[in-house]
Amino acid sequence: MEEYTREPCPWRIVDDCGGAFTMGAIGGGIFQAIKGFRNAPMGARYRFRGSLNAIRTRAPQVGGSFAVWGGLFSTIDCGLANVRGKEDPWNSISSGALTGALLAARSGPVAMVGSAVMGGVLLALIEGVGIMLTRFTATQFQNGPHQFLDEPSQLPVKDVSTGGFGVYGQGQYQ
Amino acid sequence: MRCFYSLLFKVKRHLIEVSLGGSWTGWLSGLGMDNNSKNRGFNLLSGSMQPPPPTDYLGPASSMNVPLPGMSQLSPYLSIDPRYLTQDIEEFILPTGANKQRGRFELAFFTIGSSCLTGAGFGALNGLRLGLQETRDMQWAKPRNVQILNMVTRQGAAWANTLGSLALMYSVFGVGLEYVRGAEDELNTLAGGTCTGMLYKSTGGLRGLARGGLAGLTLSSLYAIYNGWDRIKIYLQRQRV
Repeated sequence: MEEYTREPCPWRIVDDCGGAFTMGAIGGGIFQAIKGFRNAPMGARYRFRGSLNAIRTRAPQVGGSFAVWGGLFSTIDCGLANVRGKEDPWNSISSGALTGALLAARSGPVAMVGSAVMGGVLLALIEGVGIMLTRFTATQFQNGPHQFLDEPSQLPVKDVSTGGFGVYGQGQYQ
Repeated sequence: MRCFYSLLFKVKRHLIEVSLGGSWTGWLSGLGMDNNSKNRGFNLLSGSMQPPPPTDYLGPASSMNVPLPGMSQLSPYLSIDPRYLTQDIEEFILPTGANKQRGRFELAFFTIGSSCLTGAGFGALNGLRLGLQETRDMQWAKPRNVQILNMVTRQGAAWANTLGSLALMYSVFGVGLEYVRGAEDELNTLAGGTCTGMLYKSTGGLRGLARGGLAGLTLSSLYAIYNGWDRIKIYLQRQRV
């Protein structure tokens, strides 16, 4: 868990499919448990039974539809990476949009466009958060010239060669 | 990357096979090609199957009439009893801070995804079979195609959901057991399989519970035997020797 790296490409499809199924089944299970509890007739016994029944019947279905999403997304992602020869956020965003469009194909072109936009925006948000996180953690480890500047013994050095040292330190970690 | 993770860093010292036969030529070849993981078959053939008589070559140490156990037939320069070097455990070279084994959590998603996809494939085939069977006396036209297609998609989805949730339950049980026990072995597999079967059939009363548990235990023990066949073979060979 501590070092979560993704699988190489053909196996990534299976992995993403499983991850999406897990997410959908567990999340859908919790959701359906609450829903079944509320919709059941009065009495604790009936309520828990309704909750269990809802989980049993609905959670695998929710997981399955999530798994379809994840598997299709990953397949398109891998295909794009193979065709374009590089892996970048645009792959994920466009494969999210394509997945949304493909899965809404039976509802007509308008629904396809809407769900493609939804998928693209969702994946763009996820990728954006990932990039932001990477930037943020990168700045944590940045050890530029300010360490030396604060140290008293280094102060005269800073006065003598401010330009070269500062430029060097700033340019390195951008 | 995680899939080939263990394969990449799995460098066995091929001393296991040698320790079975107890022959020095095998030990030598194991020593010479220590980090080469491709000479397993070679070792098996030359090392443990036909052990040469160990008193073939009496080194210079034997002229001193000093009985040294386990050495001196090999080389005068070797002053270590090779038996201390033989280790029965598999050795891995791991990156710093990594676990000794890939746990169940790392494999869980792959397991779930592969069973989901397998279920989808088999379900689609079954749906095709059922659809063709049901619409046998219809003429080959659009309604029949649509009916067959509906059957295929419905069956595929149903099987994928069933197998996926079974794998999910098994993975959750396995990860939980591994976490609770702090160990990873066949017992986790067996207990996880049994619990999965029991949970899956828990709506059918006590009888269903027992039946599901038995089915899970059978399947998981078959899997455990298949998975640990190498170790079982080594164990049996050792018993025979």
